[in-house]
Amino acid sequence: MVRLEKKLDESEQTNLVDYEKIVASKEFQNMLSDKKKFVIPFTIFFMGYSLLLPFLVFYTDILDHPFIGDITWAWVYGVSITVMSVWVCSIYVRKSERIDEQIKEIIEKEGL
Amino acid sequence: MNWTVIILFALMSIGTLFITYFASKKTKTAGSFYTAGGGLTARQNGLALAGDFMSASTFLGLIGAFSLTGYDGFFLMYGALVSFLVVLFLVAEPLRNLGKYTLADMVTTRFKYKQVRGVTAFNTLVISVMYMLGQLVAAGALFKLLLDIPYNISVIIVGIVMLVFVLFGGMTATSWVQIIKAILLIGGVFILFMIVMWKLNFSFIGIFTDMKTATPMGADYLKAGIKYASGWDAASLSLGLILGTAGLPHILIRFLTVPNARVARKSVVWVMWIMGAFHIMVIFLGFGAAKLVGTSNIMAANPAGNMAAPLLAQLVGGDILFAFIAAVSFATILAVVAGIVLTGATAFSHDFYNEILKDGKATEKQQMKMARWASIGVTALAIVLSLGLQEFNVAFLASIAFTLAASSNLPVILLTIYWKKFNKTGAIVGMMTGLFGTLLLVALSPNVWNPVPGAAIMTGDPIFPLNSPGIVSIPLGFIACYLGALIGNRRTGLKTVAKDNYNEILVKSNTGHDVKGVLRH
Repeated sequence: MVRLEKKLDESEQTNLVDYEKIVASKEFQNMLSDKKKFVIPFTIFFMGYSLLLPFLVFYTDILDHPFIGDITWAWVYGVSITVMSVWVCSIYVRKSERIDEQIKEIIEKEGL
Repeated sequence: MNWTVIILFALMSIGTLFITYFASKKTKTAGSFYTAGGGLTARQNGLALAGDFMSASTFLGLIGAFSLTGYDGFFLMYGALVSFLVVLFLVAEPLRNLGKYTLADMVTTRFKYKQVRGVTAFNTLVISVMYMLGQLVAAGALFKLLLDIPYNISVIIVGIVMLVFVLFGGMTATSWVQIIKAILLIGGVFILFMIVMWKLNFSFIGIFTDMKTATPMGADYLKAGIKYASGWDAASLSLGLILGTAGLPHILIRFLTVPNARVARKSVVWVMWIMGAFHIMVIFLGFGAAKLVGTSNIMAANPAGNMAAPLLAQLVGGDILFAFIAAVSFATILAVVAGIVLTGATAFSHDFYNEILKDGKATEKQQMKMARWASIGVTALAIVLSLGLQEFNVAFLASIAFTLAASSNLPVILLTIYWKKFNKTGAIVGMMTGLFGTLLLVALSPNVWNPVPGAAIMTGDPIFPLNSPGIVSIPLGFIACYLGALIGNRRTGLKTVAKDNYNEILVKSNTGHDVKGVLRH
């Protein structure tokens, strides 16, 4: 019985949430645009950075020059994709901590 | 027969069976069977994710690729880390916030139709079986080489051992098997790396000079173009790998085993560091194998280079290290296959059986029973199919699964979360076109057609020129979604706008207020 009542409560609650209002609110729109501001440029950056490699090594020779000894820039670029991924990942974590704060405020304000 | 190998294999199997036994005591509900109750920590899930992702083709295949094709190894490797950025930036958090047990749960949060759920679940099953084929074929080849067990029997043994984990322990046992396997794999690769570099006097720069003369390729070894004929073929392969992970059901389901989006995010950070370290070591292990074992010896053991790592281990560390690396490879295959079977079985019992046939009213007991029967069914199907695929290249089979995922699942996932005008028709048309389009392109590609009789299944000129169809099939999937959505919107007209629940999806996917947290085991 207890479980049944709890279930009813939950479904009532979800019905009452006014999603249109939340989406239209200033806080929600700010959060969305803050998120877009780093997600879109970074996605373009890491996709571009990594898909450029096959074309650079196959169709140009700018990466054929030596870096140290017999290591060419092509190898440096290849390994740098690993470094870039870890770096972009850490930026994402830092930025989204800030978004988390905004989301927490929205949840509290709208009583979700 | 190598007794050290057999003893290590046995120890590893007994150890993992113990875990399964303890996990099975905790697996009482369907929720804990499907997703371990959503209670894993970031570190646990990160290790399990790395375990899920680093399959036999990652470990054996990449070292082999670097040893035999030099620079071209990068095109098989670098997509992996970038693919986790795609997962992290675009998919992981919304999926955690919207999904429950399966990918279909997430898509049907927005489009509440049984057809959508059915198509998504069907897709999950096809991709999972496809991915499993590559693993089982690798297992068969490995056992045959290491233990002299015939290919067919090896495949059946691996299938059955793995089935035991899934049947009794569900997601909890599978997760722990993944975690232990990831630690063993990284540990084993690190030990091998240190010994190999010690043999090479730790000259990280000097080895590049050595490599110019160490292989039959000469100085070309350090340049692109040994394996791939053009930048487009290499880019097509990389694109499939970069976008594929974000559509692979057995990877995505891992984000449903954590309590919230924050933990989902942190588990990706763990994957990044683990796989980043792994990738750097792989390059030098490939060099080491080419220089110390020699190109001709690697090719003699397996023309695709899959045995480069075990051979290198035997050369520098004797039988014990060889046995250890072989046992780690075995555990790797076992863990990955278990994860995939579980994903397929969940799609079947949760989506087809419970939600579609029983309207979500099946009892826990019925669902668990169905999930176990589905596990047996999926395994049996994969075993039967892989018995006929012995001659296929393992990396090729895995790359089809990736491209299928990127072409059929990813467009629908992204548009469901981010596109307001997307609809049911778009989702169904998109998934079907991506799935069958990719399969058709593969069927017309040089993998299947070769003018030389006997070199491939069919004799004749390939109609589609590229080995990896990604660069065509992925855009095709997106375009089909778009056109399907346009048709759907026109047909239903204003009605859909009134019923549209995109705002709800937007709020839920961003805030995750709907996620109820850790289920009771």
